[in-house]
Amino acid sequence: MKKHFLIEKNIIAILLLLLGAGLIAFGIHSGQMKAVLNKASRVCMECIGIG
Amino acid sequence: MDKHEGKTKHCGGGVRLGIQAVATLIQNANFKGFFTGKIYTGKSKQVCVPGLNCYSCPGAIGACPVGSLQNFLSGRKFRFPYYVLGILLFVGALLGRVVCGFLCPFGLLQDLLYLIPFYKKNQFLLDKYLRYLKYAVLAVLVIILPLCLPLTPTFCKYVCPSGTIAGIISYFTQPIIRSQMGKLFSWKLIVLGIIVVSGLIVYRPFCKYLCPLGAFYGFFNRFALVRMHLDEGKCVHCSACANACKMNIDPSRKPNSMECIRCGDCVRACPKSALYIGVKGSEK
Ligand code: SF4
Ligand code: SF4
Ligand code: SF4
Repeated sequence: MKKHFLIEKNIIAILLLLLGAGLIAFGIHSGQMKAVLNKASRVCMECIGIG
Repeated sequence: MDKHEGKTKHCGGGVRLGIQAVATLIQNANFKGFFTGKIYTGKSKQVCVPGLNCYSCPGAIGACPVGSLQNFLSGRKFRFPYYVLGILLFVGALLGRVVCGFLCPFGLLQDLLYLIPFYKKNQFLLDKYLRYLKYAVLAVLVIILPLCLPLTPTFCKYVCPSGTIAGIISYFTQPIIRSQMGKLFSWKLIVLGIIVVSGLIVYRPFCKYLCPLGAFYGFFNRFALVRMHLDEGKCVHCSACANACKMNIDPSRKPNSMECIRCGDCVRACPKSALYIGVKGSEK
């Protein structure tokens, strides 16, 4: 009963969480994690103000 | 003198500061980088952190979500940023702007600035109009311009103060980088300077007016799993909560305002315990 109430009151959050998880999984599957690592493990010249 | 007087009034505010400090340390756990100037290149950098924390900071062990998003959008070949958007969506749906109140290093920096005794003016006429600026920053500098200009993360390049802090650390630790710094670095220093000085006077000016990440998470405040709840039956409309709020919100009217950073000051100030932040339906 309580579980039902919990889901009902938070249904939008739950759907968005599932959508987010799905996007993350698809992104990982398409190799996007590597692309993030690639960018994050080099100094970004724009970020630090060299350009 | 402003009504908030720059103090974190209740001991709960101290607990929050502690959590913010731990979160900041964890996200910047490559401590030796602060001395060598070398950035971390380990696997944890595949994962975006929830708040604004530049990946070019020598301490950072994770990736910045705003920088990563712009990197996808401004790539030579367009790739829809499923992974980064998924992380942002997931974190937003789970926590909304709890990230701002508890996890973001740049939020902590501004909280500390506001604790410094100085002239305070947290409420002024332009405040409510300036709040819209952050949505323009999100739309124009983070999405539209990076989509139009290849290899140009415009928000990182011209505004982001977190990147400027990374630049300052690199300036002092890396002579090669120091020798390359010119006009753009000076511009970014001016922007950072304005944010820091205004942060002494106004509570969290960057979060209120400029941050695209805060703007994004704000959309989730109404729906996030962790959100604010008002017990209408208990509320006597005494305005104690509104008076305690340094983001200038009245949570007895709008408990899930997009501006709320979930700091909890209002919850602690309410004499009737009419407000709480948590998961609806999980309360006893
Ligand atoms: S608004 Fe931006 S800078 Fe401020 S706490 Fe939130 S994510 Fe951090
Ligand atoms: S402090 Fe509590 S009782 Fe007073 S207006 Fe706010 S929510 Fe209502
Ligand atoms: S409404 Fe409450 S939790 Fe939100 S910012 Fe104001 S004081 Fe903090």
